Formats: sequence, structure tokens, C-alpha cells
Amino acid sequence: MSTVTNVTKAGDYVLSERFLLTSYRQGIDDSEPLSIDVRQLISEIQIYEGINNFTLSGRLTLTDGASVLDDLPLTGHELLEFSLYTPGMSPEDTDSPSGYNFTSENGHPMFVYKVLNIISPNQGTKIYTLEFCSREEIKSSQRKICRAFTGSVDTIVSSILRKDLKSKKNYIFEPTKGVNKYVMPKLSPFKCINFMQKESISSNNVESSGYYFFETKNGFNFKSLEGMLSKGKRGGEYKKPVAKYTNTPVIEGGKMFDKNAPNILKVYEFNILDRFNSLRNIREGVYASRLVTYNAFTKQFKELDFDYIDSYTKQKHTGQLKQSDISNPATSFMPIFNYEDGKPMSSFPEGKYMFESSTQGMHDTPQNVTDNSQSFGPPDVENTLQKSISQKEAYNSFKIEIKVPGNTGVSAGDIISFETTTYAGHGAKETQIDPFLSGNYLVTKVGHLIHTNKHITILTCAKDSVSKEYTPEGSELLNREKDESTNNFSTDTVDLLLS
Amino acid sequence: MKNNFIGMDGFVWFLGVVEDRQDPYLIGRIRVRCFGHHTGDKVILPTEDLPWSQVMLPVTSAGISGVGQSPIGLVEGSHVFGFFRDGEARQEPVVMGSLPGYPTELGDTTKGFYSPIKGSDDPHAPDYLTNESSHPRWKNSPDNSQLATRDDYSFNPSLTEHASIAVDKEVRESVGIVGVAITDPFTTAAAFINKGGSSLFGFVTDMITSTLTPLIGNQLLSSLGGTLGGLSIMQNGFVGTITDFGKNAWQTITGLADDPFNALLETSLVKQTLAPDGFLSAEIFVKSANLTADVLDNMVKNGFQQVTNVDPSNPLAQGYEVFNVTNYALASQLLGADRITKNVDAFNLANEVVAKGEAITKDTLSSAQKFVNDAETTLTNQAQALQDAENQLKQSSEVLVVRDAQGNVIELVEEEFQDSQSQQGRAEGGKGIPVASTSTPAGRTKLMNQFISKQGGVSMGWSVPTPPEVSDVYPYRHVYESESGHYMIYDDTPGNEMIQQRHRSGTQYFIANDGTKTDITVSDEIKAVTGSSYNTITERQVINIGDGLKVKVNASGKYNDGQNHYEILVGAGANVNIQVEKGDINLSTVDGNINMNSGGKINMTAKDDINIISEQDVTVNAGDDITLKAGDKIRLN
Repeated sequence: MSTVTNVTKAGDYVLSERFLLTSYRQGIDDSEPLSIDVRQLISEIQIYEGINNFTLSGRLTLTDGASVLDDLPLTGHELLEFSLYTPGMSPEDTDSPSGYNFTSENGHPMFVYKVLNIISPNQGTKIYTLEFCSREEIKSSQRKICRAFTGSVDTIVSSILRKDLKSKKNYIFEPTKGVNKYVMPKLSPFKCINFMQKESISSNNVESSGYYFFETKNGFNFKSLEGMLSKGKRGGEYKKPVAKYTNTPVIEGGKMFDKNAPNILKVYEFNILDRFNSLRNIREGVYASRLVTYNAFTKQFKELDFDYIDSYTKQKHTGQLKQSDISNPATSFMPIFNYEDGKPMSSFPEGKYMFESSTQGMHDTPQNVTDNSQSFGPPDVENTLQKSISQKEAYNSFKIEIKVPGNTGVSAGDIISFETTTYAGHGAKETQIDPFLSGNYLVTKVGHLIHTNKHITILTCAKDSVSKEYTPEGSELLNREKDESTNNFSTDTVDLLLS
Repeated sequence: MKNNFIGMDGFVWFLGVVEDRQDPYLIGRIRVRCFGHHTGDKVILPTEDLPWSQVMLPVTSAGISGVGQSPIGLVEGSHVFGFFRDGEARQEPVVMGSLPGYPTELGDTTKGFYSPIKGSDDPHAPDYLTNESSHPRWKNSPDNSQLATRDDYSFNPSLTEHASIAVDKEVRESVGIVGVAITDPFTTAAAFINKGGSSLFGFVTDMITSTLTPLIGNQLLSSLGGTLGGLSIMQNGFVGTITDFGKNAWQTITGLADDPFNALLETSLVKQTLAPDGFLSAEIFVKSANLTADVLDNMVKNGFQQVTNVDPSNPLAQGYEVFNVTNYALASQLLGADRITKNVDAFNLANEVVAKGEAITKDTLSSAQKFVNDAETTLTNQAQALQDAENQLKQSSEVLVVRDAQGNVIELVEEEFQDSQSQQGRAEGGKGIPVASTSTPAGRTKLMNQFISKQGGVSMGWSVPTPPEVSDVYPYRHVYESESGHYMIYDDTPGNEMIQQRHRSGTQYFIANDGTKTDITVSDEIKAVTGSSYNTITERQVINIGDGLKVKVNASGKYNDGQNHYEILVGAGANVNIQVEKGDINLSTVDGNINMNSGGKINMTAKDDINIISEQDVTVNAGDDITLKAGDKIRLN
């Protein structure tokens, strides 16, 4: 491993001079904890972040040929201190660095919690694989919260982050709507947040329900999906991609990509993880769902049907090559056509049938009776659940994975642009941009792999719309099978016919 | 995987403790602190932050529009079982039922999982619960109603007698007085006095108080009121007065031990006001020099009331602080329960008098109370009077002396009253209690048999029945008891099938296993009927009225349908007897006649004049002779 200060080629990186493993115990004749610089022992570093992961995590492989680590020794209770940047994004290169700073001087060390395996390939050499995570992960596993919270969910999350997890990291949040009250029944801090985020409604994007709490290199984030796509209040601009990746074999000028050129925006590898799974979308309630609610206080029940097309026009989406504030339902990945009896796929709500309590008044006070007002409680499930499920599962249904040159500038929750060509054809079609696969994507997961002097970033990306409209169809074309419904045979008859 | 479907995302149940039941919407919701799910630290999670739990009703209640029971049976401190309607989110608890146990500790109001209501803030809580939670009421005892368990209070020092049981005893004493039909001995005695003259009054009173008491208890004494009572005031050293148990209590109350205790004790005096059967009140005189602030504080806290308006001329008050024993329990503890008057009314009255700052005298208790100097003298006089009476009775040929098995005089009956066929005798009110049969038509032995006293085959009196106290009632006795002490009992105990419904005041009714129904009302009983009232009594009716009786017929005057009369019809072979002990019989009409029709003779006898005055004519028609006979003159003008 070597320090790179100048960009020479894609995949270069800047690793801190010191890569410390710090013990829980003091060093000899030193009041400071015992630290060992293992930089020269590093074989591989992996760092992960994702919108579905509460904290950063990673894996470190060390090759120790001089029994350096035996002096520590490793117990699974060490701190890991280092920094990692893509050249040009380090503090030395810019006033707005973008990378991982795990140093104790001006960053936040990681916690080694597991020594995965120790291999001895030869006499005197040991290969260690360590797993590490943010210290908040450890703290969250150590404690349970049991107290009442009243306020907006974003402030409750802030309180948990600061008071319970004692985190000193940045907290980047999208304000939530309303005042809520929860009594946490002995849940770990992250489980508390996980419980609340599913029901949270954005005050900026009122049609967006369901939040994500996750850690990136910049700190902890608490955002809705739409909050990741757009800026500010409802109707605000879409965010611009932080990186524009292309999988095309030629660049716009007609020149082929030079794989050795220092272009960190090229794509090494591209995979489609999920694309067309209409059966799952039906079952998970992406297209439609029915929610029955029961309010045990007022003894009322309701049936609420969710229609993806109606909801789609009110929400922000990602996937188009050119983002527009107008969400055309034809750009959703559910083609609008006459599926059955003149109805589109979104008119069959019983594919996902739910029954939830909408009981309010769990924290009534005499004042509520006097004012005829409603007490604070969880957000109304009637306005959150179906939209939240549909939106979340929509993003789960269209996912790609791209391997790109190491880039610490991209984080989970960012928007990137991705272009690829259609596969089929010759001639002119070879350069055609695939309008369905190409477009803006939400980065849902980021993995950094650093080994043998090369930094690769693996991005898992998702979107919920396409650039080119699916053509609507009013005719019931899929229902053309042979009609044998008038033929009813008993098994005896069938046996007779077959004999 | 979460299904987002109530009932299909796991059944998350809980155990918890009720901490609040003041549901602002009055639908019976409660705040429950759930074990494991909630912390017991009320600083972190105060009671008011707990969510409201709905409570389930059994299928015997409709749970709508007030039909069936209301879901308000739980109290702060109840342990409950329930589930979370919203599953793992655990924001919507629902309580399914309560869990009785065998508490081994009282509640700590400062901590979670206990009732936050202090005993001192709960008017229904027993006095010994102050800073402790209002529930549980006691420890080391089953949570079931003591009425159901018949728990042995003496076995468990932490228990006090169930309030309802204690009140019942008091009520029964009181009701017993009302119900005692032994006006006969008194009537007899009164008749005897009338017969023998007033010289025997002292004998009769003392004789009754001393001799009849073992038979009829204090009921008679009380029923006779202060007429026969006696009061005395004694002063003596405190040491010789209090019981050993009382000494320990005194030591505990004052907080003094050994020498300081003995010094305080030796220098304390007690002045007791005596009723014929025990102490009515006691005043404790504690030497001022020994009375520290702590001792004073402890005494006041434990039921002593310091008398501030002591007569300075009272030699007992010189150098002493005076305290009243202001409650029955404390007096019992100090002086011995067997030495306290059983007449709780009189005791309470004495307390009221003391509370007013007045001295207990015959006038303050009752204007008619007899006053003697001291208890010893009373007893001596009574013994002597009894002996004198015995001697006089032996010489009397007109009085029948009825004795009990122990030879005690229990009734004095004039000989002429023994003629049960005598019209006059029956006019005296009859002898005994008329009960035609001792068993029900179904053959069960009547409960009243146990409450009618008989001597020599003569029913002498009756008292109000009390429910049989049987021990092996579990698990057949079904009790519903409210917080304040109202209760309903449906007892299926074999041989003791009974229904009882009782107000905490003691007003109640119960139906015994033979079908006897007893109504006891400790205050007024009002009955309003907008229609007609029909009563059928197969056998007989006995009514004892302590005061007056007023019957107003056609009070509104609006009925004129021929059925608006006051009619008394007596069948063949029976008489109508009306007797006034001392007073007049007045028959008058405002607008109408007085008509007398006799199938036989009309006999009038008067010890004094007979006056017939008419503002108009007087007509005497005889079908046969008219005879006028005078001891002296016959005047015609």
C-alpha cells in the first residue's frame, strides 16, 4: 500500500500515513492507549455504506509476517484509525474534502468488533481479517430506550443520536411533519429509529412517507426517498447527479474509452440485479393495495385503496435522463394498459391486503377533552403505510450494480447518472442509449474495495421510472387465450377419453 | 416478515401494573406499566407518559351503550395481563384481565410498577397506609376478598379486620337493639313497677342492668337508653390501669424505653368515665416535664387528642398535659377491649362530647341518665338491690318469677297476665313472639328459630337474624366488592346458599338458605309507590316501632271511589286490642259520624268519669230495659 497524492489513473487513492489499531489498554510507559501502525500489513480494505444500513462498516485484511499484532494482541475491542480519499477529494486537495476520515484527530475512529479468521499461509506469517463498524453500532447494541418522546420525529431521532448513542457526527435530516408521541418499549436506539422512520412523513414532500436512517462518510442521514431526490420543499428542484457514469464503449466524440486514462467515471462492470418482477410488485403492494384500518377508540373502520397511478403523479421519481417536475405515470415501470375488464394493473388492490390499527388517543389528557382536540400519537397509518410500502418496494424492483473506479465522492443516498447502450443490433443502434436502463439512479449501497494498489467502488443503484414512456394500451390484448371454461369434465370422463 | 395485518404479526403480550385510571374520556382505560417493556424509573418514564390501555370486558357485558358491567373494576396497583394491539410496535396496549396474588410487600408510590396513590390520599384506604400505596391494602395475605376467604386476622399481624366485617358488627349491635322484641320484660317490669309502686324503681333498674344483661346483652341496656344507665368517673394511676399490651403500645407511641418510659408512665394519670359495662372515655394526664416534643408528636399522631381548654382549677391539670383517647381502637389497645363499653353509640357520643370540649356527664350524654359516683359503688348497689329484690319477690304472691338455667331472674310476670285467654292480658301486647311454624313449606328449618329466645316454651323475644358465618366457603362464595366496601355475595356453599347485598354503611339485605329474607336499614327507609301496594302474609306480622306511627289514608283527598277508606278487618275468633300505656285514645271526625256497631255487648269501663256531651240531642234506645245504677246520686236536669 502506498500513498498517492497525485491522480495518475483511475483507481488511485489517498490513504493516511498512519493506519492505527488502538488497544483498549495503555502502552508501556505511556498514558496513551497502545496503538500499532499496521499500514504496512494491509492486504485489503473494504468499506460499506447503504441507505438500509444504520452505520458504516467494513472489513480489513492484514498480513503479519513479523508478529506485530501479537504485541497488541487482537481481542475484537480495538479502534481503527485511518482516512481514505480519492485523489483530488482529500483535505490536502480541496476545501471540501469527500472521503472517509476515521482518525481520532479530526474524524471518528471505527470499532473493530470481530476477528474473522486467522490464516497462516507459511511459517511466521499470519493473515488476519477484521470486521469493523461505527461505534454507534456498538452503543446501540448495548442499551435499550424506554421513555416517552414528544415532538417531530426528526427531533426525536436527533435526541436518540445525541443522548443515547452519544454520537458526535453530523446529523443531516429532512424535517418531518407534525408532532408525534411514542413510548419506546425497551428498544435499542437503532430499533427505535427504525420503528419511527417507517411512519414518518416529510414536511417538505408531503406525499413521501417512510424515511431512511443511514450513515455515510458525511454523518448520519434521516431522509425520505423523495428527500434524496430533490432539494428543499415540495416542488423543489431535482438534485443533480454527483457523478455521471457511462457504460457506452464510445464517448460522445466517437473515441473509445481509454481504460488507462484517469477517468474515474467509467464503468468497469455493470449488472442488473432486479428489473421486471411484476408478480412481486403485485404481492408487495407496489401497484395497488387495500388497507383496512380499525380505530378501537371511535369504533370506526375504513377500507382504503391505494392506486399506484394516482400516487405516482404526486410524487417525485428518479430514472429519467432529463428530470421533470411533472411525473408522467407512463414513465413508471408499470405499463398502463387494459389488463382485465378495462382496468390497469393498479386496480387490483387485494394483491396486498393489510389490516392495521388506527386507534388514536393513546395519550389523551383532560385538555384534549376540553378542547375536543386529538392527543399526540404516532402518525396516521392511513396516510403513510400504503405509500411507504409502494415507494420502497418500487425502488427495490429496479436495481443495478456497477463497478467503477474508486470514488469516495459518491455516497449512499446520492443521485448518479448512468448511461448504457442497447445490446442488440448493429450499425446505428450500437450507439443508441438504452432509454429504459439509462437515467438517473439513487445510490442505495456503496462498497469500497481497496487492494493491490487499486480502489474499486461498487455502487448499487435503484430507480422507479424510465426515460421513455411505456406506450399505453386500451385494448385487452393479453386476454386472448382459448376459452375452455364451458368444458367441465369429471376425472372419470378424462380417464375414459384417455383410455 | 411483517404482514401489516393485525393478528398476523405476532401476539405480543405483557404483564403490568395499573398506575392510572383517570381516563379523561371515561371509557375505563387505564395506564399500565408493562414489565420488561417499560422501565420502573418514573423519572425516565412518568406515569402520565404511559399510553392508555383499553380494557376487555367479558362476553356477559355488551361493551356498548352501557349494557352490562362497566370496565371500571381495576385500581391503581392491580396487576394485569394484556397484549399489544399493534404487535411489536407496542404503542397500543389492551388489558384482558387482572391477576390476583399473595402480595408480600406494600406499594412504594415513588417507584413504577406500584400504585402512585398514597394511602393517606385514598379515603377508603385503612389508616395504617399513609405513604404506602393505597393498594395492596395488606401484605402476606391473598388478594381475594376477606369476605370470600374468611382470613384469620389474628394469624396475620399485618392485617386488620376487614372494614365491612367490623362495621357489620357495629351495625348488628345497633340493629339488634331495634329488632329486640323483648319489650316484654320491660313491659312486665314497668307493669310490676306500676303494680308495686315506685319504691321498687331503683331495684328494677339495677336488677335489669346486672341480671338481665347476661341474657340479652347490652341490647337491652341500650334499648332502655340512659334511663337505666350509670356513669362514674374514676381517677387512678396510669400504671395500674393499662393492660400489658397497652403498656407496649404506650411505649411504642411515646417512643420512650425503659427508664424514661417508666418515669413517664409513673407520672401519668388516667381519669376514666365509666358506663355500666366499661369505660366510656379516658383522659391521660402526662406530666409536662416529661413530655418532649417527640413524645407529644407521636401521641397526637397515634390518636391522642390534647385537651387545650383544661379547667385551670382542676388539680389534675396542675403540671400535667391532658389528652383524650379519641377513638375506640386506641382505647381498646390501651385499656383492653373487654373493658371498653360495647355500646359503641355511647362511646362515640362520649367522644363527640369530648371533642366539643365538654365534660362527660349524664346531662351531656343523656338527660335521663342515672349518675352514680363510681363503678364499684354501682356494682355493690346492684348486688345488694338484686338480693333485696329476691327477698321481696319471694314474698310477693302476685308476681311470677321466670329464671334461666343458671337461676338468674329473666322475667317478672304478674299472675293475672298468665291468663292468655284474658282479654286484658292480650291487650297488654301478648306474650312472646308468634311464629306459627318452624319450617318452611319445603321443609327447611327456618332461620328465625335461632333468633327467637324461648323459656319454658314461651317465645320471649326476637332479634334481627344475621347471616350464618360458615368457614368453608371457598370456592363457592362469589363476591363482588367495591373499593369503598359495598359488596354482593352469591354464596353457593353447600348448605349455606345465600345472597347478600350490602352497602358500606351496613344497610343490606340477605336471603338465607331457607329462603328467609332479612332487610336491614341503618338509616331511614323510604318507599314510594305510584300504584297500589299488595302484601300477603300467610302467617303473622310483628312490628316493633320505637317511636310513633302515623298512617294517613287518602292524604290527597282526591279519591272518592269507594275504596279510599281505612279498613281493619279481623277474621272470626280474633279480637282487636288497642292499648295505651299512658295516654289517651282519641277518636274524632272533622266531618262525619262515629258509628259503633256490636254484634254482642258494648262494655265501657273507666276508672274515672264517663262524659257524654252532645251539642244536640242524645238518644238512647233500648230494645228492652234501661237500667241506671249509681254509687251515689243520679242527676237529671
